Order: sequence, then C-alpha cells, then structure tokens
Amino acid sequence: MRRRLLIIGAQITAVLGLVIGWQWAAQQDILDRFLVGTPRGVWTALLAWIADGSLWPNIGSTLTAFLVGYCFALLIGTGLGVLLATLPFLRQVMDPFVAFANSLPRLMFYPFFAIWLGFGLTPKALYVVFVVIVLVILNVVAGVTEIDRSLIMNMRVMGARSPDLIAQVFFPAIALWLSSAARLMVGYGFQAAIISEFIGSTRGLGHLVAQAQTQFDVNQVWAAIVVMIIIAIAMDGGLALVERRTTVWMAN
Amino acid sequence: MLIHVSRGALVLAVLVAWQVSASQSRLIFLLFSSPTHVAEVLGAWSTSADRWHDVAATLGAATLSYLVGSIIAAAFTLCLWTAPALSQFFAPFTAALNALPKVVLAPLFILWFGIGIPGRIAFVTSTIFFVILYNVLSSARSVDPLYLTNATALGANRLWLFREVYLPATFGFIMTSLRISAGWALLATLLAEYLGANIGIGYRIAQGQELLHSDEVFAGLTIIGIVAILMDQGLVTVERRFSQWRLV
Repeated sequence: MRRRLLIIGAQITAVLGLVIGWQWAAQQDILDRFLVGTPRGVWTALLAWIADGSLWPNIGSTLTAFLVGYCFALLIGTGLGVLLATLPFLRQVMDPFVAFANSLPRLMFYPFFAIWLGFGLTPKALYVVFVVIVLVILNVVAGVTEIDRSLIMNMRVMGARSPDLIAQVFFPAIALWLSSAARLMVGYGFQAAIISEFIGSTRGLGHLVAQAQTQFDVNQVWAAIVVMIIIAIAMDGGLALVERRTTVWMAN
Repeated sequence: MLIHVSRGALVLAVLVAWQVSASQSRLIFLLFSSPTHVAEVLGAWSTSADRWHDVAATLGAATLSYLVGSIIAAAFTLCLWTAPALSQFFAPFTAALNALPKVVLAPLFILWFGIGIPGRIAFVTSTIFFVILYNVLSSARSVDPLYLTNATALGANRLWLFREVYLPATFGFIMTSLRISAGWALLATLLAEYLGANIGIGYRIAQGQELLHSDEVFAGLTIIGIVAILMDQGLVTVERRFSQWRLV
C-alpha cells in the first residue's frame, strides 16, 4: 500500500516537474516557443474552445462518425464472419484475401470515400467501417471456428434448437473474441475517424488538428492531443471494465 | 486444388468486373481506374529509375525506423522488465500514450523534424514502441513461475534467471512481436510519407490522389501489396530459422 502511494506521488511529481520545466524552459527561450508550445498556451487554447462552446460539437462530430462506423462494422462484419466460419470452403478460398486486406494500409483510403461521397457523415462512417470491418471478420471467424464441435453436438442431442445454440454458444463465443479485440478495433476506428477529418472537414477533432497545423499553432495541436487522450483513455477504460465484467465466468 | 482454382477464378472475376464497370461508369473509372490503366502505369514505373528510388526510399526509411524504433523499445522494455517499480511508475503514461491515435503526432513530428527521415523514424518508433513493449512485458509475466522458483531455490541469481529462463521462454513472443512490428513499421512509414514527404511510395500515392490519378494510386498500392507479402514471407522464414531449437 505504501509503495503504491509512493509511486503515485512520484508520478504526480514527475508530471508537475515536466509541465513546470517545460513552461520555464519555454519562457527562458531554451525551448523554441513556436516549435514546442507552452503549457500555458495549451491551457489557454483549451479554455478558449470550452468558452466559445466549440469543443463539444467537435468531439460530438468525431465520436458520431466513429460510433456509427463502428456499429455498422460490427453488424456487417459479424454477418460476414459467421458466413465465412460456417462455410469452410469459402473460408479457405477467402483466407489469403482477408489476410491481404488486413495488411493493407487501410487508413490511407479516405480520399476514395471523399471523392465518392463528398464530405459529410456518410463517407466518414463508411471509411471507419472499411478500416474496422476486416478486424471484426477475423475475430468472428476465429471465435466461431474455435467453438468445440462436440459441445454443439451434445446440445443438439439434448434438444437444443438453432435459436438456443445461437444465444448460448455462438453469441458468447463471438462476444468474447470481439470484446478482447475491442480495444484494438476501437483504437483503429478512432484513428480513422480523426484522419477522415484532416481534409475537407469543418468540424471534429481531426479538423482542429488540421486547422492548428495551417495556423502553425502548436498549442492548439497539443490541446487537441490532450482532448483525444482523455477520450481515448475513457473509451479504453470503459472497454476494460466491460471486458472484466463479461469474462468473470472464465477460468483465468 | 479446387481451392486454388477458386481463388484464381475469384481474382479473375474481380478484375473482369473492375474492367467492365470502369468502362461503363465514369465514377468507377474516376475512383478506381481500370486494370489495364493500372497495368500500363506499373509497366511505365518499372522502367523509371525515379520510381525505383521511391521504393528504395520507402524500404530504407522503413528498415532504419524499424531498427531504431525496436532498439529504443527494447531498451525501455528491458528497464521496465528488470525494475517492476519503474513498470508501475510508467504504467499510466504508457497507457495514455498507447490510447492516443499516433496519427495526430505526425503533424507535430513534421513540424519538429521536417519531412525527412528523422520525422519518419519518430513516427514509426511511436507506432511500434507499444506493440513491442506490451507484447514482451506480457510474455515475461506469463513465464511459468515454477521455473523461476526452482531455479532460485537452486541458487540462481537474476542474471542467470534472465539468460536461462526468461529469454528462452519469451523468445517466441519476442520473435512474433518483432515480426508484427516490422509490418507495422512498413505501414507507419507509408502513412508518414502519405501525410508529408517528398519521396517514397506513400508520397506517390498521395500525389496520385491529389491529381485524381487513380491508376497511379492503385499502382502504388499494388507495389505495397507485393512488398508487404514478400517481407512477411521473408520474416516468417527468418523466424522459423531462429526457432528451430524450440519444440513447439
């Protein structure tokens, strides 16, 4: 207990020291204020965004694009994954193509969607779907193919019908794999949502970064990063909580 | 056998559908170009020294960034491994940085380091750092405690434990994470080039997109696909060669 307190104390000291050191070095011109920004500048930028109310619509825009895309990716990806898992021949044929799609730099494909659909919510959401769906498919296929066949056979012998099997066997297996991969997929999807706002957007966290870049305002970039870290930690923490709750029944 | 034929048929069907739809629809042609055009561009590029320079630049940047990044990550991982207190100290910071979408660091790195190699190295390092860190640390934690207890009871000191127990036990994980980070290094290099560069395949793709030359974009993507497949196969071979002593 005491060690934990000591470590927390050391962490707080380190953060304070870093911030104070940074501010001092920037004021003494040891660090170039233009290149690196100052803590005070970052704080001012954040406060300005909160004060004129522009922070919340921007966060909302990014999160909307991300959530819409992520949900659709889950739905469509699960469907396709189950299809692949239940048709072994199709899965064997598609295996190298799915692996190839997974190794593609899908994050670079946003301009395709922008040219096709313009700059609204639809291309952003579709782009998030495009980025995330391959991971969903891979995990769903892994989850379903890992199910013990004898378990299913036993359940059928004892009178289980398809709805029972889906609810009691398939759904938990898929949910388990998806929730353990959720943190990776959420990270990817969130990145995709932000990248989609780099060009041609008028709202969103990515747009804030792009705007800051054109104005050469490093403090705004830092402020946007701080906001993103907070959101990302909140999502990650929420997912960790969900993961802990849903895997309570597991042996390890 | 049937599987290979089906795959070939699938690829052929997609190519034919692509060609036909591109000739019928201006939109499809604008977005995706057509197989014949992409093949033309690839043919022109294969004889152009500039494009080979691009490929070399990308591969060189990726390799350099990968080496620097994995060495930095390995050093940091080693420190955290041997000092659990340090590991606890850094835990929230690494979690926060890991959660951050690294792509927003790209503008910062471009501002600090310019659009050349140092910025590339910084970006790739920031991407593969956490992959290596978390993989190696979690594999170190999953070493069978029985080995450790027995060895310590027989008088082993920490160095011996590290050399004879930890390293062999985590070797598989380390190799796999190094292989995965190599793939990530290539992708991160391409993304960095895409976001800001003046040379490299990612840059050519960005150029093609800006000029709406979809055939160039797809030619670039084809090259990336080939490079990625070759690299992965090569690394799998290397991994297998180094894992021959293992039973599993």
